Amino acid sequence: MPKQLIIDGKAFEAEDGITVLQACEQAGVEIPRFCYHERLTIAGNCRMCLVEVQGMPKPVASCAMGVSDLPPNRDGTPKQIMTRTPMVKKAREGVMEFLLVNHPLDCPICDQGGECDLQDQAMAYGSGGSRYDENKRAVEEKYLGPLIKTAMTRCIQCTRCVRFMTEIAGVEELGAIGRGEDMEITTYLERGMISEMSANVVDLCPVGALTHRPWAFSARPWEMRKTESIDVMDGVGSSIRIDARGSEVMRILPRNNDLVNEEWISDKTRHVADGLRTQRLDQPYVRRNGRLEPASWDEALAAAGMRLKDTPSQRIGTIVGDLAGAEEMFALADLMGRLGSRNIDCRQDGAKLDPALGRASYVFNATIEGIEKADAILLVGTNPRLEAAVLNSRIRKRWRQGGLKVGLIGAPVDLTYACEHLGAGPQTLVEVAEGRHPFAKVLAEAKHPLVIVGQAAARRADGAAVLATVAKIALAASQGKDMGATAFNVLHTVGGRVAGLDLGIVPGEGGMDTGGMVAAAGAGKLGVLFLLGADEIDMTKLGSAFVIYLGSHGDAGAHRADVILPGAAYTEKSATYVNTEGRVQMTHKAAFPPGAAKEDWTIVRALSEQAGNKLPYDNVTVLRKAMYEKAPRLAWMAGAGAENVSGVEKAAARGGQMANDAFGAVITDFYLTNPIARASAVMAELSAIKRNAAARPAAAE
Amino acid sequence: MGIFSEIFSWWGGNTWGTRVTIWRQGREVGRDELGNRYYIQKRGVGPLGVPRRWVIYKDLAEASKVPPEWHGWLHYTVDSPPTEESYTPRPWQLPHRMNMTGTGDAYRPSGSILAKSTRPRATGDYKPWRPS
Amino acid sequence: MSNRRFHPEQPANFAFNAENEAWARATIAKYPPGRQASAVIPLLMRAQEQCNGWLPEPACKLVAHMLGMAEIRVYEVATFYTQFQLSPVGSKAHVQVCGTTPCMLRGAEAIRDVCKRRIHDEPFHLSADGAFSWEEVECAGTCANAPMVQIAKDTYEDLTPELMDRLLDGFAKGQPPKPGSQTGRTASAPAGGTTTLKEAALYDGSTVGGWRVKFDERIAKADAAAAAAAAASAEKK
Repeated sequence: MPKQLIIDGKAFEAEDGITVLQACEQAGVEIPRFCYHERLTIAGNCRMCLVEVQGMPKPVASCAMGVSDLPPNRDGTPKQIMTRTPMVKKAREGVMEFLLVNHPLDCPICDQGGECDLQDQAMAYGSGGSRYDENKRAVEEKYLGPLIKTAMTRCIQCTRCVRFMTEIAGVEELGAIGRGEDMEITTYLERGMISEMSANVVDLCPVGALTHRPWAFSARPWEMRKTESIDVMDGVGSSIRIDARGSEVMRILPRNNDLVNEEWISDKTRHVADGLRTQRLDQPYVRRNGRLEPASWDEALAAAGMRLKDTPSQRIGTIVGDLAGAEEMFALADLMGRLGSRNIDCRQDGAKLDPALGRASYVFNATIEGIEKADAILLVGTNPRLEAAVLNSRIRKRWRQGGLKVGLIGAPVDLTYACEHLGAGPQTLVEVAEGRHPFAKVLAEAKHPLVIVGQAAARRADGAAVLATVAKIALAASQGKDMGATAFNVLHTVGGRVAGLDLGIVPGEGGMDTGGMVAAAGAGKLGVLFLLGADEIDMTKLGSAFVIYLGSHGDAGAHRADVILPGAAYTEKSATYVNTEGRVQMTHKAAFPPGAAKEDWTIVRALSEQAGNKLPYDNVTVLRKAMYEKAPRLAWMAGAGAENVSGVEKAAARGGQMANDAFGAVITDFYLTNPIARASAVMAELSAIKRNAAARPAAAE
Repeated sequence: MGIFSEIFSWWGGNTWGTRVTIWRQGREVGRDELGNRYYIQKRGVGPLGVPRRWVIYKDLAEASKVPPEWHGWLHYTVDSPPTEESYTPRPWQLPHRMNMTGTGDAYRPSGSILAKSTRPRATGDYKPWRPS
Repeated sequence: MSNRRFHPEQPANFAFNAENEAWARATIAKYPPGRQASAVIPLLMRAQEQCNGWLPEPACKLVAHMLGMAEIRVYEVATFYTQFQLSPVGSKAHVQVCGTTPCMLRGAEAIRDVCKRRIHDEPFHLSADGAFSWEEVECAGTCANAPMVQIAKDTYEDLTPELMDRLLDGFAKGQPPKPGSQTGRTASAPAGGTTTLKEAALYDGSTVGGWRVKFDERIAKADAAAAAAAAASAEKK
């Protein structure tokens, strides 16, 4: 039942179950706080949110006082909540004074300066001067890993970081030892934190106790230009904010998007920024006499274009990489189509996903927000903790609310939530599909069952059969439940895959897929292989094919290439990316590509002229118009979900025999999954630490 | 400075007129390692109420040529000139250098086109990939 | 100011002895499943007792694993409560001197000085022979017998510096004195002897039930008065 309140003189109707602080926020009244955070449990220890409630002698911690817990007035009038009275002002000034008693005078050297909650609230609600003459206490530095710089003297013990690691990251590594003035936040025996979401505590910390170590001392917040963009390091498509100064990306922060990533991003998304500065391709190269030599754009485009023009179309192959945006994929596919080549594939890992079956057969139909409605989840051949860390924390969020059963078929891993390991491979899958396995009953009885299948299952040689079985399980589980296609969910590991599938970038009639192209190149049957940022294939198997590489970083592809065309990374272009849910999003250009590098679609356009088949678009708007005609779904920036269930049915109808070997792992090293991550020194350090930690023998119990 | 060049040039050492004045009014107190000569007024007091002290430079009259030990005495900060003090310099003390501004040895910040060192890292620097 | 940390030198591992293991299992069983973390304080105290009065880090780790808790949670508990000694204590005695107001007024500082002189200048440090250590604690609850010290589970009260010296001598020899008041009085009885309840008749059994007799007399008197009044009013009618 809604509760009537009068907040600062204005009547307000608060719904049942919210706290006084939330009611005040909804009424438009700002309440300062340090320890309260909407996505964490309530702590109530900072005391900054104190408000005066009519009839209560002492101020009330509004973050913890439920609206329904306020004792009603005797005369039945609505309870008054005042936030501008002298009592509240005195309370806030007092709390601020206490917080500043032991807080060091570090503002000039503290990275949080300019975006510090303590600074802002001291200015707005503090008393303006200090009466403190004594010595301040100091706290030893702690080691929390290579991503988090600690200055624990600045800690105000709000415990947001402790609650985040315990609840949302699921890795109980931070705690508050000691008590009173000597309370310190630390890990057990000062181990570094091994969690893919650990760096989010830096955003949560209201003061400069926890800051970004790679970004330390490099910029002030007001110096940086903030650009809203989308992350492409994994398939989640988290909303990010790119802070750039000049043409350098200084750091990447999350943006609030309740539908996708809430307020979190994985460590890889956040700290890959230094990979944008190293190993960059900044000028075209042409291989002459076996050696790559710098060339001008004209020379490089001429060399590549000539080769494309002269090679018969069945000997031209194109592999579209993981980080490519829809615009350049579309332009390249258009060019190749005009050249008559049908060998083109966006599935660099050989996933057996086919866009002809329908969109529901290759996206995460339930949507990430829809995970919160699930009550049974079957994970097949996927490790969401490494493949999509933010999505995994969403599953954990649902699990924490209780009533969620999770089953895993594949390699047993610690997912941060209780998960029943049902089996290792297709045999268990068949048991569930045929209803013999107890988990099949769980799925049948659940009101919102989800089946999530990962690339480890989809890219096997029998991937089509595996996907068909999974689709059958999903259809059976959603019988009679009005779920549409939402039981069947494909988890992608890279940002560019779904857009490629939406654009239909798969081999045409009689064309070769990735595996076929690599084999043909090795056998001498493929003359030209165009790699659009594709580095995950085995470059040693390409024989003597003429390789044209268009990408942003010098990785395996650039080493093997015969012509290198330097393109732009995802922070340097405004491109369309579709995440694993099928949500169409756009990155925005935050900086310029270095040196002579250009935006990818412009290179393809220029190449098309040299190849004798000029593409008809001269600016990006015309290109996008053509792109939307090819794939109208890419014009819909609004949402995801509600795909046609016929896609799942068609996937289920695919036949094939499943092999017996267990599902492997898609990602062996979380930190080194794409060229930008491999170029990053921070990612290399994290990867080394994780490998060393795994190599150490486990402690005796 | 040569006797004849002393006639006109006032930018280094002393002129003839100064030479006469020094002979009449000044008593030499000492010399430093660069060759500058230090004098004190023989009779009377200067504008500060104490006998005036002055320096005659060896070549160019550049105020920063006065080494630290004489600087204190010259500016009336200390009473006794270095000749009357026993101070052993520390092993790490460097010989005194005058201010090099305007000369070829002037300080240039790193990154300046006149400097020999490379500039510090700037925003926008990136490490390009080079084929090995 | 106290920074609670594990001691830099730790034994390699820790295991409960058989008796303590059985007791630990029984303690854990007291709590409903899913709530066994409630047993953390008793288990840590027992581990501390088994390790001669201090709590090594392997013990915290073991307790964490036994209770299914994250190790950091046990570390939080162990550092929060000052009853957990995180550094080795004296093998013969760890002297806890109360320094709160009643003891302070009765000379606890002198007792503390004895500790400083005889054991170590600083609290929590072992004496030269490793047999003793001391610390100052908050009120130990025997304020009427101030000043006092607590060693293990016993309190030694009514101390003076000389008595304190004798106490430490006793522990050093392995013959600790009887716990309780060291001046010989019973509990908190008056120091110079009793001042009230001195009549011998109170202790020879003659007054047993004496209060009941008094009440019976009073009731009988009241009944008689009521009966007389009733008779008088009945007569009037």
